[in-house]
Amino acid sequence: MYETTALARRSVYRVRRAFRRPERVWGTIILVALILLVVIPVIYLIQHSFMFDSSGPRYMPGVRVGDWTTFYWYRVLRSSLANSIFAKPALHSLSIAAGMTAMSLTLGCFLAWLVVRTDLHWKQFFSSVLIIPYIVPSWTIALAWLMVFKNPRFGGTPGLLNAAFGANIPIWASYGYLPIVISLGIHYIPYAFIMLRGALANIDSRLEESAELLGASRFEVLRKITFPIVLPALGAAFVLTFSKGLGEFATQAFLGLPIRYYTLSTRVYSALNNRLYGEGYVLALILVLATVSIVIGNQFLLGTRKRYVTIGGKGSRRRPMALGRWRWPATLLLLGFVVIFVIGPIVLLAWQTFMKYEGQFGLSNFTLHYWIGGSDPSLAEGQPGIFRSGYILGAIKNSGLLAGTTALASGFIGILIGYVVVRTRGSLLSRVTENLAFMPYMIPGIAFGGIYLSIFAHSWGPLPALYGTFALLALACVVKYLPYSSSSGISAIHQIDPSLEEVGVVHGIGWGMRFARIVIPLAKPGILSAMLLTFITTMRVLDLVILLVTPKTGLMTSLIFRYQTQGFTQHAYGIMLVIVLVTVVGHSLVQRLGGKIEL
Amino acid sequence: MSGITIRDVTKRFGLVTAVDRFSLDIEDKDFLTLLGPSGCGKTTTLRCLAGLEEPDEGEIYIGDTCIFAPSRGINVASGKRNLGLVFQNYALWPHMTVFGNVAFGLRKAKLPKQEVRRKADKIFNLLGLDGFQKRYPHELSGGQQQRVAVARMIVTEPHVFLFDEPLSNLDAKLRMTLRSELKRMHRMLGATTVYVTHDQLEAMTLSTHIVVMDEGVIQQIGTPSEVYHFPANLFVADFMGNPRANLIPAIVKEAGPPAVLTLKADPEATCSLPTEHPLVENQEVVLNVRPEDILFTTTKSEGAFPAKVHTTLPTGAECLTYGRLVAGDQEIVIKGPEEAHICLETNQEIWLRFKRGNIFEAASGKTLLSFGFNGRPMGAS
Repeated sequence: MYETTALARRSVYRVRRAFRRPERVWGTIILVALILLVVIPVIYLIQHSFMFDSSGPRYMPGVRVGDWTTFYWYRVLRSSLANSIFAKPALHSLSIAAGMTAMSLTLGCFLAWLVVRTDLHWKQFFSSVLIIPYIVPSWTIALAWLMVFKNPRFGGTPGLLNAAFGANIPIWASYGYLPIVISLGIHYIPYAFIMLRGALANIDSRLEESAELLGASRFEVLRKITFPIVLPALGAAFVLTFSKGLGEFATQAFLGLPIRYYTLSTRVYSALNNRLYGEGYVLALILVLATVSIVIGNQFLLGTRKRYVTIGGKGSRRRPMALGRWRWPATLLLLGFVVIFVIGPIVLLAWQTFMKYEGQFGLSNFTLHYWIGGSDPSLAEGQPGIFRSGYILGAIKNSGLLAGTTALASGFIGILIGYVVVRTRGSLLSRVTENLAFMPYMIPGIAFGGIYLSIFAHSWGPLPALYGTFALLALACVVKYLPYSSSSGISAIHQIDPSLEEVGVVHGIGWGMRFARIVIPLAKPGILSAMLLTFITTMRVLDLVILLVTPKTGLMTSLIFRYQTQGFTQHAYGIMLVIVLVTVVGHSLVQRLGGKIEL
Repeated sequence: MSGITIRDVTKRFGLVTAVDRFSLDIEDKDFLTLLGPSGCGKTTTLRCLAGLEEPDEGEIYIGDTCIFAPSRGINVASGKRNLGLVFQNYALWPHMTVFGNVAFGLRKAKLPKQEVRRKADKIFNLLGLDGFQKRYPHELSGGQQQRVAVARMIVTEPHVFLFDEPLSNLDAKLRMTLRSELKRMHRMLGATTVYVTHDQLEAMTLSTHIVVMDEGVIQQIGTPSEVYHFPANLFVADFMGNPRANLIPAIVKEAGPPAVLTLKADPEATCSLPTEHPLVENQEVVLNVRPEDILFTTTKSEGAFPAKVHTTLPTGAECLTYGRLVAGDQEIVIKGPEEAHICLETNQEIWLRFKRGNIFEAASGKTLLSFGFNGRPMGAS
């Protein structure tokens, strides 16, 4: 009797003690959630890539769904179809990633050097305007490209060049490798630009000046001093661009699918969309594996060297290099670049929405029909204008709602993860939580969407079947963007001295009140800009949600995708403009708040 | 109201034992200081008392109430221990006004608004913070911030006040002013106070009792004067006092009383001390004398250690003279009135006598006896 009461008392004591360390309690809850939503889905993916799906019996009579097999791996990697299912798309993916990385790094470095190190005119203007390709959806340029270079043989209607000059645009210029590389290359310029700009601005100029004093030529200094110092930043930019480029979906779909030019990501999409799950899982896994190996490889290669990026810090400000007689030409050249590749695509998109008939570039063709017009059976099969169509307005509302929900939820969860990671620093819990929260980063959006599609098609564990619901979209977005929100949560909580909360503990103020009145208000500035960034990112996301949306939960992006493939170009471009507007305004708000861009 | 009893409290962080079987009785209305070098476990002890750390073993009582006894499943939550804490960095909530900071502490009590205002105003008045209610912490000076932290602590009328190095972020002059304010406040409110510091001057001036700690272990408990004059061991003798006390290795030549010591480095140099109890002949000892307890002559005298002057440092009111014993390389510090020291020159030979001090056993570092304290109890408690 005595022993049982003692035991009971001790266990009550243990439980009460646990609740006195709320970071542990939350840590455990978050850990369980992360395992459910990140780890198990990946395991599910691996497991089911070795099982027959419902297509199994068609290929091999007699097998049952769920039987173990290496059939799909064999089919993708070794069978006679392997070339078209895997090898060619993989080669395309790699060469696209390589091409666009090369392009964005070269241009990004050069532009960063111009803006930071020379006496170029209008530096401030260029510095902010060169970020725009990153803010707007990656496929803005792809759509604009189509509008200019479209070939009537494939797109039905002529593009600008064809219409204006009667130019017969070759296929390789309208679709496929080159257009994809250029579209993506421009979208990713800001990555290299931002990172190199930071690295170049942070070099202690004394390092270079000492070399000059020792008689090194300008080129020698650039090669032997400047380049090695910014090399880690360059490496980081390379990995970021390359790994993101591998997983890109939308641009490759818009510019590749019409001529059946496949990449890994579009293969994953079409496999899963056609319910060839086993094949889709194998392809998705390969895509994940490729991204993971690049990210991890980077940590091995650059992890230790990365540190000297910041060496020096703010030394004396170096006098910018005089461009001499090249000053104005360089400025004008850069301005031309900005006008054509940054502002141009957006203007073109806008122009398209005012064209009554696609491909007729005259003024007589001007109309506001696609914005405010009512239903007209002769135009776009009777689709009313954007602001008159309940369906499109519904998608705009859905997108806003999704972006808002995702931003709020991931901001809050980000603080919570930051709280757990920082307050249990040094423990296993802290490390595991931090690393698990980073994992979604390494899963390309299309693969992530595919995994969630399969898992939530039916109920599992404590979670109901969510397919077709808004909740699934929100869940996928929140989990996918955890790497960003948790990293800003961690740095926000880092700024809060534990004693600020301990005072509350001593005053007997409960955890909920401490969190609401002390932690959140203090973490707010950092979190607010992180939330806005998540809002923007969710607003423009396509690859993650394309497999998850249903007609009921249509989003602006998925609608653009549909309209574009169905040929409702004006509507597609119009919705695109709405997204561009929201993201650009949102981003300028972020900068007002002093937030940093998360790459 | 509330004395504090701590029994065998041990706190480990991984393999490091931060506090090792710490036992202490603090009387009601006492002002007790935990004093020691950084990393000695004083802050950990305070945090265990506050309930911010959970000891691995031991029991803690406030008054008659047991607040911590893991063997009986007792661990009263920090907020229910009825104590207040002022942090080294004050931990003022930067997003709340001064009033908000102080009033937030009253939340738990769920008082009506007017009552909160009345209580807070009373405290502001008491601490000279009137008119600052609407300011934010970053708009205040360091001293004012410190006062707000104190206000936030005392507004809930806890029975025990805890301070964790509350003055160490302030400049020397302000520290002095606030020291006397804290002392006045303690007299007025009479709450049992535990105060953590590494500044011995703070400990000496404020405390009714001092606990000297090192490596998680209590070295000595006593009144400021006991700890200063009768250090229990070599660590305390060395740690207390600024400039540091002189510690001279020596050998007992004549057990006495009065005892005669010779320098360990030079058996020829002898010195007699006004001891009242016998020592053991040929024992290795360490002689501990405060700088102000050394007398010197400029002419050779029997029974005194010869030394050479190195530098004199006049500070205005008094003068410090640094020198070395002629034998060995032992540094000596002497403190005295300026006029007696000002004529000393570098390398001048002087002869030292010791007015009062302590003798430690060299092997164990424990006190053997004290001398020259005219009837005061021998040794430390």
